[in-house]
Amino acid sequence: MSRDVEFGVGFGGTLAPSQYPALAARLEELGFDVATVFGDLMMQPPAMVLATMAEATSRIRLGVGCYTPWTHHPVEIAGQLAYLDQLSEGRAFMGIVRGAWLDQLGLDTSKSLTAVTDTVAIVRALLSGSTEGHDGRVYSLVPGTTPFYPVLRDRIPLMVGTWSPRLAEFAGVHADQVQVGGCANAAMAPIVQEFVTAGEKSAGRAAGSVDVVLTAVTVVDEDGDAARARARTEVALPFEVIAGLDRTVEVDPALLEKMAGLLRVHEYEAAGRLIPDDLLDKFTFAGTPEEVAAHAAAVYDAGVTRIEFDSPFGLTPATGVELLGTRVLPILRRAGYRSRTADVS
Amino acid sequence: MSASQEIGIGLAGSLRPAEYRDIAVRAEDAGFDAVTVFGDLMFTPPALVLHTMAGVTRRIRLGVAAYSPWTQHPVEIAAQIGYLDLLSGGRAFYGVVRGAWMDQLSITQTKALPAIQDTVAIVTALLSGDEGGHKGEVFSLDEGTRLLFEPLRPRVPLLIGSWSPRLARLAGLLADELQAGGCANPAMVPILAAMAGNDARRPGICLNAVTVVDHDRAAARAAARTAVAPYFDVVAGFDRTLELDPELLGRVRTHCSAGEYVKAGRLIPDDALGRFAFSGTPAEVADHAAAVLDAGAQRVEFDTPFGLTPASGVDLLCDEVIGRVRAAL
Repeated sequence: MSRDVEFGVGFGGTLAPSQYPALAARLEELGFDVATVFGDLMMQPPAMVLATMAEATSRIRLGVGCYTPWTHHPVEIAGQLAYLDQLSEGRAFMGIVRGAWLDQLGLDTSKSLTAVTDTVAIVRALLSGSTEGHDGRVYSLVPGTTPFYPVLRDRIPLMVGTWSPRLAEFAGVHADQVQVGGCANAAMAPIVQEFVTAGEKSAGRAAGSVDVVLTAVTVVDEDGDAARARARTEVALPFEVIAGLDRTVEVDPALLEKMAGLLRVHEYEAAGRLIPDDLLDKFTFAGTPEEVAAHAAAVYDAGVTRIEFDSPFGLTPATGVELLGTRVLPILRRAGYRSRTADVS
Repeated sequence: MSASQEIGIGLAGSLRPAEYRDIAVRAEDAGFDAVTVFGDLMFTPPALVLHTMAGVTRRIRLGVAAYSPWTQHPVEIAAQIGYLDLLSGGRAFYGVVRGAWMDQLSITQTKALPAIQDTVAIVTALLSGDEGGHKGEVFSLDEGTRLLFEPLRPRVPLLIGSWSPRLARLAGLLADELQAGGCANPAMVPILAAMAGNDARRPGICLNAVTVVDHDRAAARAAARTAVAPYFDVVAGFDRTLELDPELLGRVRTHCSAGEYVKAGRLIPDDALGRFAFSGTPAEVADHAAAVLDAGAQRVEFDTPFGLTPASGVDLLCDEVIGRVRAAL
């Protein structure tokens, strides 16, 4: 059996800027197709981290994964992407999500689908050189407003991050990829695929036009127990938000409430210890290289085109990247999962 | 010229990455103290341009000049400035302005002052690690919210860009610099300082304006007229030392709305041009900038287009202007 897939990694922007160039260069050397940087609240700005990576690489695709429409006006997103695309010579892509934790900013995010729709429309109009403008319910652009900066590609690939039927259907109509953020559960892939297919169909697009991407906290180490312990701590914060989104699992609301209390006072390790064993695997890739490779293979087999192994990667970012690239990917390649874009045998 | 006074250049993000690298290296080598990138609507976001410049320089200060509070939340501003400061080894500074052209996004700016106050409060809290939160009229931050990365400096210098007394007063309370954008008039320095309640030279006053330097004096001044024309009627109203015929301003405005900037520029009186632009031969531009510093400005900044072409202007600023400004003081 052989299957064309993509190998990706995702960074939460929390490292020293000086660490990114070497990590990105090594990822490229190891044959990864894609690096994304999250736009989660209070992390480093993804376009700037990717700009740092762009200068140290020449092939790997660089994605903002993802913007929320609530803390940036679409004109800022368009300007950032156009510049990143110039800097990387056409390797940028844009992710957009509804956004999480925005209650911490007192923002009303009830019109999220509209905000995402307006954002995609305005970014596309600006990059394509259209002068028609956009009259949206959340964001607008007066006709005739066009960029003063140079644009390399008039269309930058779009990824929509979501677990929801409505946004996944929107992705089916408009996007190139749909990303289920924080999900390592193979059983979710066909569910999201079905939502996407509905969108593809309504837009008259061929089935499979949109790639499904799963992305989750990853900790790989020769010591599988140490890897899982670290993964619990790392996943605690996103778990509290996304556990309820996975339709294939049931999570005790009392558990989530207890976790929320600990997270509010930044007790990530204690919060992580509360996650039941059987659930950890649905939301993380954690364990020995062999265990992580087997888990990834099952996810690819469920129809996923790309897995993004998210930070911290290992007990340190550098050891994790090495193990992913020199142990996990070779196991997958030997099993017939071939990179779509990276020329590494 | 005192040791703390600075000479800078300022540009809008309309170029390609390689061009920014060249300009930054050239400016640093020539001894410029600061480079700023404007945050005007539809130009490349300044923090990204400065990211490129940070990678090829070691000493020059790098300023976002400026953010408007309308197109990104203060948490994004804090994260961008925190990252730029880390990347540049502590050379970042940032400005906040009311912002212009927001009608193109159908954004009303009625709460500009609270929006700026909230922005500064939130950025300051996040960079300093203060988890007390902020309950603002426009922007808020819950108690306990903090950056998920460690900034280099707990406080990054702040510039407030404005000619208005209200914002100048705010700059007096909060900022390191008060910048009057589009002003090249030495006589405005003490006026701005008084508006800010400038005490012990804080905030420092920064004047920045369109610059066109060329050995062909007449060509430089003609190009400066065209470059100044689009905002002449706005800034001319801000300069309290100048009285202009309203009928003349009306004619300038009419030409500008028809896109006739050359014609509009020709109407600007000779003596008025010098209040809003640095233009002429290298010697004239240097003497003009020296007069601004002599009047007590903390920083003088030469803004695009620099010369008849950007490259020729940068060359002349580096080779013939900056040395002469320093020598004149």
